[in-house]
Amino acid sequence: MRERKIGVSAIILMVIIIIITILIYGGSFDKLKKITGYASTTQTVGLNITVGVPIITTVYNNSINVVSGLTEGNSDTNITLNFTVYNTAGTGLINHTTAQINVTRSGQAVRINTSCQRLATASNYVNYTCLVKLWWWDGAGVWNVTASIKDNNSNFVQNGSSTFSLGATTGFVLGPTNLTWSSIGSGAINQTATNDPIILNNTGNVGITSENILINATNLRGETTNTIALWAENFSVGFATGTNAECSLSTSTIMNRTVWAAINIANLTAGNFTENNNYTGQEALYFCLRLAGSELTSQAYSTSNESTWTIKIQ
Amino acid sequence: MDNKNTMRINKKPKIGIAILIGIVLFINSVFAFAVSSAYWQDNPLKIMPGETKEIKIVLQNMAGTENITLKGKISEGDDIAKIIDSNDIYEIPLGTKKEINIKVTIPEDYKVGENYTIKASFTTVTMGGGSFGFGSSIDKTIPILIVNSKGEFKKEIFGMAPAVFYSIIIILALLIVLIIIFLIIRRRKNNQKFKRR
Repeated sequence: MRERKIGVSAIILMVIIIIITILIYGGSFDKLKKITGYASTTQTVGLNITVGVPIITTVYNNSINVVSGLTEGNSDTNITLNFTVYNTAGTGLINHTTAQINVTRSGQAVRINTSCQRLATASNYVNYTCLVKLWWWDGAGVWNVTASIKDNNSNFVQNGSSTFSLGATTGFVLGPTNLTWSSIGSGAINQTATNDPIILNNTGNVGITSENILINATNLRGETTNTIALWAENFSVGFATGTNAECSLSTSTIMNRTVWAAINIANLTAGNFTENNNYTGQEALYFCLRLAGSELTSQAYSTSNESTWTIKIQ
Repeated sequence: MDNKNTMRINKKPKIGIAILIGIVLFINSVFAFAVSSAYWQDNPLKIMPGETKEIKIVLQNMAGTENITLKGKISEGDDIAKIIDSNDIYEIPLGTKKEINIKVTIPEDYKVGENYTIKASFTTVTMGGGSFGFGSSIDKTIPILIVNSKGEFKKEIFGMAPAVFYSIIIILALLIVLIIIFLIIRRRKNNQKFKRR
């Protein structure tokens, strides 16, 4: 009997809670908040009614084909974006000089055109076309497009409902085109190249993180006596120089014949490599001949008998 | 200038005298290129078990100074992807782009929600065995996500969608709790009847 009472009470309590919840979420108690106790007063309200505020009806692209990636640096990629403005009061009230468009993505710089061109006018509609410049390091992903305009009364309207996708580009260019060692003695150690670094520029929008710049080295064999060589394992490559850092085991990477060796710490950010600071979109590699064997004889040494050195990013 | 990567060593074995050796490492061919695709780490190729898709990646030679020749291959994931162009050697004239076609086929037994990776490798081809240069190579990673016919990619549990599976578990748990409560109440009733007697 007692359990039955408890059960019935629990059910009644649950029903009450559910009803109260429904009433609260349904807004039935909102009117209670408006009961203030103050007497009602007569007020004069000024109404400012604006007729014919423009509306941006459509934002569309004419030439976006960047889903497969941007053109590699140092070229930019221009995309054409168009939008249509409608005004019930006619197009005469639209301030055409304020037509602008911007493309944005989290963590990326805003790309904007503040002087879109009027393309065509028909009854109450005006079409605008905007050229937006994207840079080679602009990140892959979905970009938001926001078109905006003002009328002659400075009423501002915008439409941010459009997007486009930008693909991922992995690329690099390196230079200079030669390395030199001015002079060296057989048996010498830690001989650094005289015209390095070799500069790697990131021409894409994909950052290359540490351990993903690799070199596949080969032996430089004697062209007359090919049994002796400047062995690949006697070269090292590093991201730093000074006090023979490119020769040091702690700061450089020893080459290994026909094995990809990841250059310690070296990386390539996605950025404007034309800043030329060895950091933004750029990496410098320094080369060292750690040992010229004492058995070496006077002759030319080259990779004629083996394959070339290759620098890889991944 | 010699067109080879060459180091010249002049050895004059004379004790106590430094031997000067002139070394020049010539690099006659430096190439620059880029590989673009619509798929990257945060935007994988979504594909169903048993499905085949053809995708394109783009080779660019816009930043170099000369025409380049690239050799392409699938260096990772060649069991599910292959280059389907007639030749895996690509001539890319300076200032141009070229599309590469890759066919991806996913076996029926691959599980929804699993991730795979294809790696397409492109390396500059240097002509002539004697010449030397710093060749360039790029590995382009294409992530793959196995999805179901609705494009969903949550892993199935015992052949059911996770939401269905967990709903069943919750319902079963509630039923068990109710049964236990029912049994406890019934036992108490029986005990009370017994005490009254």
